[in-house]
Amino acid sequence: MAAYPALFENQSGINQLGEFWKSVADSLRSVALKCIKQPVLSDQEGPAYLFFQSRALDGSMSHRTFLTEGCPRSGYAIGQG
Amino acid sequence: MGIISKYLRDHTIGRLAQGLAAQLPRGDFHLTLLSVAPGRDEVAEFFRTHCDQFIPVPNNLPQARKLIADLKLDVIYYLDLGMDPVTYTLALSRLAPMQCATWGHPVTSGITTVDYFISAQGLEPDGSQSQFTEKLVTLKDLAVYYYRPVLEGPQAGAAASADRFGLPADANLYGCPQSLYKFHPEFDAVLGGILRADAKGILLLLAAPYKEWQQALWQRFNRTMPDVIGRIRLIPRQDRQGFLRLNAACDVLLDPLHFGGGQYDLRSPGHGNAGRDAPIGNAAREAGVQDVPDDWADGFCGERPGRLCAAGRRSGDG
Repeated sequence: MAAYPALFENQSGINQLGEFWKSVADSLRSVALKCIKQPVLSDQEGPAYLFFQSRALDGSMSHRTFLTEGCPRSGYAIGQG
Repeated sequence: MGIISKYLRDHTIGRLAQGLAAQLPRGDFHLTLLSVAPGRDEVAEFFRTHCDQFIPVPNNLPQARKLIADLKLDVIYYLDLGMDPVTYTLALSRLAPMQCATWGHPVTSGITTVDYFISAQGLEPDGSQSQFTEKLVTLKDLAVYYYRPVLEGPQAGAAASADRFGLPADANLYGCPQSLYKFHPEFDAVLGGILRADAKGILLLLAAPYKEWQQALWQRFNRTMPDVIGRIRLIPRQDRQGFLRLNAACDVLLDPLHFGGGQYDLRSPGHGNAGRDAPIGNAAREAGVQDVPDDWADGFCGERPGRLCAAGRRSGDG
């Protein structure tokens, strides 16, 4: 498979991703703990509507709306696009 | 390091991520796999045995958020943000200092708490950062370690000649076995151009799980290429081995415009018939096929209808 040198079982991209994660995660570790300790998880929880819009193959639009219990209110951003 | 998905099982996302789980350097990373509604197939079992910690994630969002936050992960890697409402909603919370998405679902999340979108140089045109809310990271190579697929039974060459899915032996088979929702209307000109240029050409598509998709697409084909629609065939959905055999049977494999294949471009040429077929398109180029022309599709939209066939063969021979 000489024609596809990078197709299979290639470690290089994994290594690049790992190096990227390490470089950023180390610098953010102190921030992380602070973020997780903040009440981000429970802040403003409540029902939110998830609104999905899709375009069919013939160009027509369809919409579906779901009520998601316990979703953070920032979930409204989904519906707003 | 946490990797999260609903598709850590026999699914394109799972197949693409197997090697990442297994090959991520353990000296540097403690790997937690967060599996929403975990499955029990071969690939799911692979994940369970190739991580430091495998955690099923409940569908209940408050419980899921607390569970993940309590892990105090440094990084969460969302493999397919946008494909599943549970993971998408989880990403709205800051559950780790660094939260990343990637091209399992190849579009920006639009979420401010997702910091990075991991992509690759060959996947992104100039200026694509403007299409992401995340900071776009373009690695030199795809961050995928994909296991070579194995075609069981007859050798690939024999399979290609003997198993033509009942189609004429002298036909030139052009395969595009992708989900039908990926067929952008602009792709019709390419497909029609190929079939008009090659009187022996037959285009093979894969049946959709919902007949409405096929009906809608065929209605469109009837408008855009009524003269050649008779040479477009739908192949029933296949299991993994059947899919590999279908690819082996094709002379040329096509990658759709605008929404290309993911795993498809990696697994298709993996069964030893590189001299026979070749993946064409952006993902093929990114996967290491060096001679896919930038304008690979242009010739079929206008004056040079023979170009793609030549390009395909050239890649395979290269």
